[in-house]
Amino acid sequence: MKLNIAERVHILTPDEHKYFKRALARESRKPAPQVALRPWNELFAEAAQLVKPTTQRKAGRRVNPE
Amino acid sequence: MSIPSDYLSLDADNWPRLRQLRFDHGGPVDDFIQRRALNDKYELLRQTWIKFHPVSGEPLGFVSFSNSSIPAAVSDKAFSGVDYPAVLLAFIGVREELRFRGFGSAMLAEWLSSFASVNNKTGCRIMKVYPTSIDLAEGFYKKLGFHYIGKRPHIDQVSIAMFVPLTRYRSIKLFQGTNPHGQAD
Repeated sequence: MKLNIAERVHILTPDEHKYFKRALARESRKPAPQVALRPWNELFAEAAQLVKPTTQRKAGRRVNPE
Repeated sequence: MSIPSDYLSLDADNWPRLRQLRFDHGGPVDDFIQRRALNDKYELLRQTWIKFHPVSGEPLGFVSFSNSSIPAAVSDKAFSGVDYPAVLLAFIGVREELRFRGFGSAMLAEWLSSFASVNNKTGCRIMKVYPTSIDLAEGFYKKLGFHYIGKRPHIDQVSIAMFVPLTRYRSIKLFQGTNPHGQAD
């Protein structure tokens, strides 16, 4: 079996690395972003109304009734 | 690291329900769930977590992570460099009938807080992601604190790389715990 485990990456050039180091230091000092997240109880209530139920297949082989 | 509430790891029992769903109209996210997610888990390549409705037990969405890094060259002359350890958000999906309602942001925010725990087991400092479009980068990831890794968004074969330092999410108190300094974790 062929394993595709490698992730294609861009290796930062020395210039890009300098920029990234500064950005990492700057971003690390910032507080958590102020995102207006919807509370989960609200999201769950909405999901209960909107989702169509999936079916749970029973384990085991399907047997032809005939 | 605590696993956020109402998630289960993908396995052979819950995968049949997840693969009935559509997340991006037959795009790469659907393809991942249909063909690779379960195999990648057992091959120890990616870990996929499914968010379930706590009452109905319906799968609502999923996130998939793998270990990664941000490699960087130190100088042009030496064939050497450094690696910044990171966790890669490989895939995130919300079932189609629930998209654009805030489920994805809520899921990602709780995982960012979870990885920001001082008990995150691997010493990971950064989460990185390759958004598949500028719209996604600007409209979704930026508002959650992600920043471009390069000066300009790279549009190349690798797509657009973004990162967020997980320390930014330490101040969001979703989990109980204390660090050695007595502050909330």
